[in-house]
Order: sequence, then C-alpha cells, then structure tokens
Amino acid sequence: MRRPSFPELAQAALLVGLAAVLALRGAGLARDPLRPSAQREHRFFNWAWREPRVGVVFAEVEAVLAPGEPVMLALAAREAGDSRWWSFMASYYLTRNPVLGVKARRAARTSAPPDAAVVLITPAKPDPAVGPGSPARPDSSRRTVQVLRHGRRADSP
Amino acid sequence: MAGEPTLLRLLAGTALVFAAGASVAGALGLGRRLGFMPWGPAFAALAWVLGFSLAVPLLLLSGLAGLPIRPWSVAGLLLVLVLGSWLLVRWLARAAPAEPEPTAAEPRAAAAAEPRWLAIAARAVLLAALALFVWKMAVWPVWGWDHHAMWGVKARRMVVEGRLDLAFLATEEMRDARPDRPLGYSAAPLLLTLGGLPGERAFKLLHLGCGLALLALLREGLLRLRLGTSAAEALTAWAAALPLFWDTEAVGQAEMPLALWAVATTVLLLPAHAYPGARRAAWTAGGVALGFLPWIKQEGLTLAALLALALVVASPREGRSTWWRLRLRELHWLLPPAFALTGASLWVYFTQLPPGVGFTAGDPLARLSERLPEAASLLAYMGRSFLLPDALGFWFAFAAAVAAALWRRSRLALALAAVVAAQVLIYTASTFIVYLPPRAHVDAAFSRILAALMPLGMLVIGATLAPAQETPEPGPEQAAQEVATGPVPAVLP
Repeated sequence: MRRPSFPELAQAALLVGLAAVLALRGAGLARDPLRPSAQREHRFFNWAWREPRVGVVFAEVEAVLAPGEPVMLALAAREAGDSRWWSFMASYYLTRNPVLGVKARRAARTSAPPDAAVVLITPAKPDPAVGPGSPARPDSSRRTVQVLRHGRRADSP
Repeated sequence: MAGEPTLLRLLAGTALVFAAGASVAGALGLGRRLGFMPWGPAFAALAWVLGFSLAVPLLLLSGLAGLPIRPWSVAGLLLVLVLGSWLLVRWLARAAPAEPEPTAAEPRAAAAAEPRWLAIAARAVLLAALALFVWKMAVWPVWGWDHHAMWGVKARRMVVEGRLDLAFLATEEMRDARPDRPLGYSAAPLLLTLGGLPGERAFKLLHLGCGLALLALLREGLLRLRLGTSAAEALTAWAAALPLFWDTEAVGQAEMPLALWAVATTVLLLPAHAYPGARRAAWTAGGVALGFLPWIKQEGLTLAALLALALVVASPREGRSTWWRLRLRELHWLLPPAFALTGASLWVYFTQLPPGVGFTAGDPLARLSERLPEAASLLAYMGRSFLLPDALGFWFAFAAAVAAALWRRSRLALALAAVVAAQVLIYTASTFIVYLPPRAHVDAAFSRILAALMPLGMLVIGATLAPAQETPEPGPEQAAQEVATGPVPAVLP
C-alpha cells in the first residue's frame, strides 16, 4: 500500500474535522431539537426567535374570524410593548383579515372601531419541553384566544 | 394554517416544475451536449433551476396581465412551458447552423488513482452532512425575521381570490416590508402550491430543493474543474456544513436561491470552456440562469453582471480566432435570454412596485462623511463575521486559495474570486451609507449575505486546487474545425 500524498492527508484532515463537527451538531439536535444551535440563532436574532410556534396561535385566531373582518389584537401589557413583532406576525399569518393594530387589552377595547373584532391573546407560559440550558421560550400552544365583537365575547364568526 | 395546500398538491407542483425545467434542459441539450447525465443529480438540479427561471417570470407577468392564478392555470402554464420551450428550441436548432457534437465523451477528469478509503470517507461525510441538513429542516420551524417581514409575507399575500394583486405592497402595513424588492423568490413557492397559499411546508420544500440542487451542482462543478471525486465530495461536504445550510435563519429567505443561481450559472458555463460543440447550449442555458438572478434579490443584478463579465473574460484564449471574436460569439448566445429576463425584472420593478425605503434613503453622502472617521472600527466589526466559528475556517481557505491562484495564474479561480470580492466590497460600502445604524445593519445581515457567497468561493478553492492543464497546440483536425465552428478551447482552469 502506497503512502498517502500531502493533498490526500490534507483531505483526510478536512474530513475528520467535518465528521467531528457533524457529530457534535447531530448530538445537539437529537438532545434538544429546538435549541438554537447556529451562531446567529442565539445572538442578534434571539429576539426574532422568541416564539417559534406562534403560527399555532394565529391559526386559532384565524379560525374565530370571518374572512375580511378587520381585527385588532389585544395583548397583555408586558407583551404589547413589542407590538412591532406581533404586527408583522399578524400580517404574515392573517392573510384574509386586515390587521388594524396590536395594543394592550384596555387600549384595544377602547380604540377598536365598532365593526372590528378584538382578539384577546393570553400571555404564554414558558415551554416545559424546552431542554435545560436553553433560553426560555413561550409555549404557543398554552396561549388562549378570545374574540370580542361590539365589546362582547363571541366564540365564532 | 387554513387554506394551505395538501402534500399531494405540493408534490404535483414540484413534479411540474421539474418537468418544465427538464424539458428546457433536454431541448437545450444539457444531457447530450454538455454531458449532464439525464436525471442524474446535476441534471435534476439544473431542471429545478431552469424550471423556476422561466416559470416564475411567466407566472408573474401573466398574473399582471390579468390571468387567474389557480391550480389549473399554474399547471397549464407549466405545461405550456414544457411544450413551448421544446418547440422553440427545436425551431432555433433548425434555424441556426448545427454545432458539432462534443468531441470528448466525458467532460470530467479521468478518475485519478485515489485511495479507496478516502473516496468512501468523503462520500460518507457528504451523506452525513446532507442528512443533518434535511433533519434540521424537518424539525425547525421557519422563524427568520426577514422571512416573516418581507419574503414570506409577500408570497402569502400576493394572490387574492385567485388573482395576482400587488395593491397590498402600497399599504402602510407593508411600508417596512421593503415593497420594492424583487418578487421572484416570493412567487416561487406559488408554483409548488399551484397558486395556493404557501405555508411552512412549501417554504421548507423550496429551501430544501434549492439546497440539494446547490450541493449537486457544486459537486458537479468541482468534478468539471477536474478535481478527483473524493476531493470534490469533501469540498461539497464542507459547503453543506457552512452557515447557509446550518443556520435555520436562512430558511424562507433569498440567500440560498441566490447562491444556487450563481453556482448554476457558473457550472453551466464551465462546459463551454471544455467542449467545442457545447458553447451555444452552455451559454444559452447559462444566460437563462443568469437572467433570473435579478428576480431573486436586488444584489442579484450586480452579481449577474459580475458573473457574466468574469466568465466571459475567463474563457480560454487559445485557438486561432481572435480573443474578441470568441467573446462576441459567446455574448451573442448569453445575452438574449439574460437580457430578456433581466429586462422583465426591471420592468416589474419600475412599473409595478411601489417605492420602498431604500438603503440609501435620506442623505447617504452625509452619513458617509459621518462614518468615515470610524471606518477602522466599523471594518473590524464587519471582519468578525469572517471569523465566526460557524464558518469553519472557510474564509481562511478562500484567502489561501486566492493567493495560490495568483501564483498559479489560474484565470478562472481569479475571475470568480473577483466576483466574490466585488460583492463583499458592495456589501461593505453599503454599510457606510445605509440609513440604518451601521452596526445593527451588520448584525442583521452581513453574516447571512456573506454565507450566500461561500458556495461560489468553494468553486474558487476547487479551481485553484484543480490540476493545471497545458494548452495544446491545435492540430490539423482541430484547426479545420475552428474554421467552421470557432476555436476549440482547452480545458480549465
């Protein structure tokens, strides 16, 4: 058997390094699938990755709205502080309904036009499924959604 | 979410895009003339690229003309593309003088004697990297901010009641969603859903398809640069472990397609250098891929122009024709499809899209003069993006490859490296004039857009590592052929 050349040894070193990286990443993914694992997923963009399953909440919201019905989202005061994130998510998920705004509960109730549905979204609790060491993420499936029309609770369009 | 299409419909849409692309690829002779094995991974990847390159502009233009966007109309459009492209290319083949068949049966290097253990290891690591990519795509949600705020929201809202309706772009709600960005990438999932509302599954399928196509074409490109199979697969595995594939932030955003179309253009034009009879097919197909770059993202326009320039300049100079005659012939085939697609993209931009808040909004010169004194610290801040551990040392290897290419005078490697460097310079310069705070702009985008250049950079590394080939003197047969068809170039690099 001939001795490996220098390029072959360099290639082998690259492959060993890659295999180690892939093994570490694979083990991390198996241990906690939703733990941010790439550099930018837990640095600058941590704020955007705040509630990865928020689509579940908007599916519920969409289910209680009539197509074309204007909607005002009402959140707990501490969540309404970051209305920009919620506004963009609402635009993305609620394709059949004009979104009039995202406000704290009290402000939403008082400022919503009469023909608009006010959708109350309860605050989320941390997701118990997120593994130890991961940043706490809200569990979207534990939020509840209530719709108010003309100031009264209504459960369907 | 309600209204999202079934898996069956997604699969039908995917199959139709493949069929349209394969029809174009077959009619252009990518299999017969350029040596892409029919329905091999590279051919399938090119079918994916060519299918979207033609069907997306067609979908948007027909939608703007008032045609409905329904499952039957999208499917019909793709089928028309199958038939129309085939008929058109057949007609062109009759109208234009025939090119000779390729003289070489195999565009790649004859398999060098590689140790078997190395070939097995490279294949195993590549498959592991692919498996990890697919696995992570399967378990992670689509979460990227720009996806929700820009690319994805447009895809989900541009079709209303079966009609293309771009009025929403002008609403206050969309003011921060960059309404003036190209719509090609946002329209692409509509082909997979056959006009239905694209959801997470469609966006992931598009990302996965583009990622797998990119790796298939990268491997093919490295092989065509005459690297050994194990070296090509080791470099491809490296690419598959880079942030473009590992960061889920990129899912549902335009960087992966941008990288795919840039690599596809390059790989399509590689055979043009090696095959005497393949230039027309290669440059025409390359022109189609090149022309779609501005549909994907605004920087696709500069990337397309730089790539066209680099690949034309880097083509071999040998043969008996003068340099400029060869270039004119290549441009004659490259430019019509590239200009048609780019022109359509610019027409949509100037006539259909509302003005957005551009990066240069306000007084860019004032910002430039304000930021120049802190240029050193700003550049150092940007430089950190090249050193991130997730980049797995890629940029060090790239710099070493460029140095080696300078020493070896590898024209293709240097030309492609110039494209990468010029794009990096454009991104760097934009940081000095952008209306956003510069460090926030770097944090938000710089690493992600650099990641899109890495696959092209991997071709630079491959072109540098590839064995040098002596340019043969043209023999009497070749000289006779040149008289009839143009010069017979030697192989790369």
